[in-house]
Amino acid sequence: MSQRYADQGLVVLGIHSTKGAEEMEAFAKKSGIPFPIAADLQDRTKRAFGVDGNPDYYLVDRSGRLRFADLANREVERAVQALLQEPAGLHPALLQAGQTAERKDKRILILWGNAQRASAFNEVRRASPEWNTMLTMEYEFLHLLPELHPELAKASGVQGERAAGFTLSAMDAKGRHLGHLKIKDWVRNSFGDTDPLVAFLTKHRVPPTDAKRLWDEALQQAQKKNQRVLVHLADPFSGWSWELEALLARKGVVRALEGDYVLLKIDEKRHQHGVELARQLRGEATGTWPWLAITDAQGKVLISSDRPTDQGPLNIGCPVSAKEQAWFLHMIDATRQTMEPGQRAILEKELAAFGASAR
Amino acid sequence: MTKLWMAAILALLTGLAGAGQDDFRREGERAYKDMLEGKAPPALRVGPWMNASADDVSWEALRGKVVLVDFWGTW
Repeated sequence: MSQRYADQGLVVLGIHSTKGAEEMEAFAKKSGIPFPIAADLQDRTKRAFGVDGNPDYYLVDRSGRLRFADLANREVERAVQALLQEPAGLHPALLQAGQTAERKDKRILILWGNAQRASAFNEVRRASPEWNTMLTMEYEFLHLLPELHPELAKASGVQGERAAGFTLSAMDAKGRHLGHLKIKDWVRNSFGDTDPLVAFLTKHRVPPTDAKRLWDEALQQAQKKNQRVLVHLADPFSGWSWELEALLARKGVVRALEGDYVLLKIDEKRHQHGVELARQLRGEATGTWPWLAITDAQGKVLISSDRPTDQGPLNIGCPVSAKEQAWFLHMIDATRQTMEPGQRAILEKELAAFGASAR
Repeated sequence: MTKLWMAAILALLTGLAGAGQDDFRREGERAYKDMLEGKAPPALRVGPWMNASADDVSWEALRGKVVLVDFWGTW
């Protein structure tokens, strides 16, 4: 079986009991065992795995997890087939980056090299705002040492280069490799030719979303059900934008709003036509993020997060304080159509809980 | 009644995730082994390898592969 499934990715390891291990080599040679075998040292491995039979089969999946401890013999082939179907999970070094990339719809960028390379790269980033912004918006950036993660490095295109070079590798949020770029000669304080780098970043970023298309779809949906559109103008660099997104995703909030509102989030700087749409909704004054507006089904702004004050309109942003939350609830009260008192009460409770935890 | 439905749905969803763990019969004493399942496997404390070098068969090197560990004996 080891040969039959080898090219699908099966590896068989034989661990011989400590007892009788002196016969192992001769036996293996005689029977022509093709897979790696070794003798257990003083039953340590047997004890660690809880082995209590002969033979006993244990199966580890592609992401390195022990899935089956002591499988019935006749189940082994079927279980092997099942696990071969499963894709490899995210490498542990990428777990956090992968989760963030998934949440924020970004890709992962790994710089493979030592600390000196990483620092040289970061200096160049700081000196080049345009593509640095793109990098920060589009990628979760990691710096990894190839010696610590040799298999991941090899899979990412790193070839053990010395000298002044290093490798950048791009993957999607699930850890699938998209491409790599060898940077040969980046001397400290020399910017070199950044065109290949910008081309690489542009090539592997998440395909840009069109804000106009999202907006049209939202209006269509609102018209069908005679709803309002609640637009969140977001800035990926604003922590409060992410907080607001989390607030609007809370179960109670979703349920309270889904009857009367189509929710739409526009990443002004990141979406195509984002700035245009923002100007259309917010006017020329841009101000702070996040910014909220509630429109009718034709797209006319009915009310926004700009709270009127003696000094002029002031954007409440993400509603945290009592005053901000009062204005947010006022925005809802001014525009809701079928929301029941019970749902509104839940909305208020969720807001309060959010406010308490966010402070 | 609702609790029964929720339990049923939960069982269904858990079954759908991954290779349906419970579809495959295990054997032997279960308490210790059941605890091992779902985690990284213990280290292999063994003598020299035949048909491979130690570097090729570390758990790190084997990531991405499905690994069948066959505990056997010739006595």
